[in-house]
Formats: sequence, C-alpha cells, structure tokens
Amino acid sequence: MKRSAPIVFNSIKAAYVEPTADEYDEARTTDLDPQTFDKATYHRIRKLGVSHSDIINSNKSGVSLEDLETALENNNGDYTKALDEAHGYDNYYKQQINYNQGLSRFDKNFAGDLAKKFTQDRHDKAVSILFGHQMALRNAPEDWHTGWGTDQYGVDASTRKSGQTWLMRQCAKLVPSLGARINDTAFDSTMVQHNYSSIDPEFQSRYHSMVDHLLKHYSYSMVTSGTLKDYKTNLRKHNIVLSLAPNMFYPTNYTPEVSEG
Amino acid sequence: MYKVSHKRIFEVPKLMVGLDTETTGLGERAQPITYGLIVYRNGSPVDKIDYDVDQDRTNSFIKSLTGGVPVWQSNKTNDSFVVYPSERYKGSDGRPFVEPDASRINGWTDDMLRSSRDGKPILHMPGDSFRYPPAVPAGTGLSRMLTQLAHLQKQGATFVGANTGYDYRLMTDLYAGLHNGLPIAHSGFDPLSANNIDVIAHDLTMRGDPTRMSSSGKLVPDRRSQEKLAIAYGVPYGAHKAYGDASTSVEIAKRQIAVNRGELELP
Repeated sequence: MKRSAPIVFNSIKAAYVEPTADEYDEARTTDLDPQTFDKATYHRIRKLGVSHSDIINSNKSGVSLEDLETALENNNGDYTKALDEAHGYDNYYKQQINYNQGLSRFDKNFAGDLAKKFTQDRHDKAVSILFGHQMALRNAPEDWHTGWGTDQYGVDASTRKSGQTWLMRQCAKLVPSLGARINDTAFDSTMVQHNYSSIDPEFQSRYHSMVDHLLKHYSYSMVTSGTLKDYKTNLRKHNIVLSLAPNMFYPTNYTPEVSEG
Repeated sequence: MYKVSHKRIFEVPKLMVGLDTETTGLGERAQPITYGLIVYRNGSPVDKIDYDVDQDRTNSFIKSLTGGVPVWQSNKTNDSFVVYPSERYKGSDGRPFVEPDASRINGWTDDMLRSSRDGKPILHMPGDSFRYPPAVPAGTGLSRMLTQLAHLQKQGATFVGANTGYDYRLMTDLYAGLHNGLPIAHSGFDPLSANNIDVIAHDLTMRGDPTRMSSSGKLVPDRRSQEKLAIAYGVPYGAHKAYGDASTSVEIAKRQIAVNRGELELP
C-alpha cells in the first residue's frame, strides 16, 4: 500500500521506469569505468525522467553517472542544465589534479609509495575479507544474529540480507572475480570480523583495518592521478569503500534505492 | 586563514551546507566524536528524493523501532555519525577521551563511545529523535566527512557554522596526523578556499563589531554564542548535537540575511 506523498522540500518526484537488459549493457560499456558501473544509479537517473540516449551521450562526454545525478538534483531534473553543471565539476577535479601535482617531491613520493606498496594482491585480499564478512553475516542462521541483528537495530532479516548482498556487490566492483560468489549460501563464522573479544586499544577490528587500508589506497591513488578519468575512477572506488565502512554490524546505509538487484 | 566573510551577506546562497562537529574537548588534543551535515537548496532543507517505490519497505527500515526511536539513516545529502577517537592523540596519562567539561556540554562519555564502537545504536540523550548507528574509527569518519564536503564544494556550496574555523582546524590537524603531514586540501576539500558563513562572525559584523571588557581588563569582541543567537532569532537550538547545531546555524544565517535585507529587525 502506498502512503500519501510526503511533504518534502526541493524534492524531485520520480517516475516508474524499468530499463531493459540491453539498456543496462550499453550504459555499462559507455560508462566512465565499466567495472564499477552502478546499475542503481543508472536506474535512479532514468526515474528522474532522463532518457537512455541522453545518459549515453552524457557518458560519452566523460561525465560520471553520479555527477550527472547530482547535477540533475541541483537543476530540478533539467538534463541540459545538469549536463552543463556536471561538466563544470570537471574544472574542480582539474584544479585538484593540478594542486596534487604541485605536491612536494617528498609528499609525492610518500603518496606514490603507499599507493604502490598496497599491491594488487593485498588490495584483493582486503576486499575479499570485507566480502566474506558480509557474506557470512547474510548467510548466518537467524539465531546466530541474536544480540547483533534484529534485537538491536530493529532491521528485519530480509532487509538486512538485501543490504548485505548490496555490500557484496559493492566489493565485487573492486574485485570482479568475487561476483561469482554472491549467490553462495554457505555460512563460515570464521569470516566474521567483528569479534571484539580481543579488541585492541587502537580500534583496529580487522574489518575497519581493511577499510582503512583501502581508503588510504584510493585516497593516495587520487593524489597521484594525472588524468580526469583516473581521478574520477579512483574517487568512485574511494566512495565504494566508504559505502562499506559503516556496515560492520549491519547495513546502516542501505535503502532499496541503492540496490542493484 | 579560512575565508570567513566580514561583509554583511544579502543573498541566500543557492546551496548552503550546515556543518558542525562535537568534540572530545577544547584543547590541543581534542578530536571530533560526531559530525553533522545538513544541505539546504534555495533556502530549504533538502530531503531525499521521493522515488515512490518500495516506500513502505524503506520506511519500515528507516523507522525500524529500537525502543521506539529509529536508527539514523544517512542519505545522499544529509549525514550525522559518530566516530571513535584515535588513541594516538589521547596520551598515556589515563585521562578519558571526552573531557569532563566537554561531556557536560555535549553529553558524550567514553562509555557511550565504547558502546557505539562495539555495535550498539546509541541514543545521545533522552528525547532524541534518532539513535546513532555504530561508531566508525577516526580516520574513516574523517574520510567520510571530507568526501562529503568535497562533493559539496565541487557544487559551489557555501558552508555555514558557528566557529567553523575551529571545526576546520580539528579536521586539518587530524588529516595531517593520519596522512603523514599532507595538507587537508589533498582530500579534495579545501577549507581555505571554501565559501563560509560563520554566524558568530557575521553577527559581529552586522552589529558593527562591538567590543566588551574581558575579565582580564582587555577589550575583546562582544561575541554572541550560537545558543544566544538561536534564542535571539527564535531558532530551535541544536543543543550541542552535531546535526542539530548544523541546522541551527543555517537557520540563523537565513534570518541574518533577512535582517540585512531589511525584512527583519536585528534582534
């Protein structure tokens, strides 16, 4: 049952649209970075009334989906004005890239070394740990969650599981091979990282530690990015890690609008 | 220094962002413990877009009851969250994170922060309208706040607060501490080039920079606190909750602009 329309300031009313598989595919292949393409963002933009072909044109002009969405919200859904504003964001990114290139040799080496030190293997392992944690929480028997799940947060199991699946998909954007395991149903409690029985004083639960490494990695990757495409791709990946960050216990920032399911 | 306008402001900025932090104290080692950020477009607070799908499901999640009080859910524009401070800056003298004076003001205690860190949704004070989700570590929280601020600065936002320079200094120091001394601007957000309205400084400008005699006999600016300004302008006071205070600052700024435009009397 639908509730009556809420009183919302500055709200854009969205329409019901269900894109086709072909449309998603084309949006993905023309995206800034097909590996991290977000179906939900594309879907939300369509619901704001923007046509598929307009989104493809925007993609081809180098605007990221997330920037187009922000600019649409700022311009009451007007595509032409939004595209213009989104291109303006590139000036901000360019300034940032220029500023970063002006780093002292010492700082640049520091950032570059850290970005390199976090090898692809370490990166993939860190993401896999986060993925495994969310998968274990999702697949755990209900009674296992007593004290962690519904009891404390009032989140029903079905919503929680949808949220955890969303988080696993977020991980798979950073390490695509994980995508094949999203539908696994096995439960392995050793993958859960929020056991605080041996909490250390630096608040370095393994989950948070992995998030911290990944955030720093993408932050330094942004600092050393030399092109707009690299900068925006690293920013997107940084934001994917941020979306994982507050969800060690339950999916705090999940809503159906972000789901790609 | 931070770009705080010392001119009267006559136009409501198209995109205004209220921001505030609650901290462990006021001294050198103070750290943020909660961040609050609220976005106003064309003078009105932005809510999330109503996608009109799965609304009941969304609501059941957002309003999921924990003792009758929902857990805060961040959306793409507004944010409020708790961080567990870094032990690195705590020192080894056994003092608590949250200094007693700060705790008396903002209501946070070390026990509350520990509970939040360990996964409990925290009700800040009795009567609050939401519980905070579990705390994230200091570095993660700072990244989250700076990423949001950079996203808004990119859109040309004007940031509004009370003593914003203090919030920026804390974030700048923490960023440098956690990133081998890198300037905060490398995060993508540059407080030095941000457009700011500090409602306390703006109030001084509007009143012609009045002074008063301090207890040590020096002439000092006759500043009005955010709380006093809220009372004077008839704005709900955030009561030292980051999100509430962020909102209070924007509401004060809107009324100050109305005064400058001759639409209200200076209170």
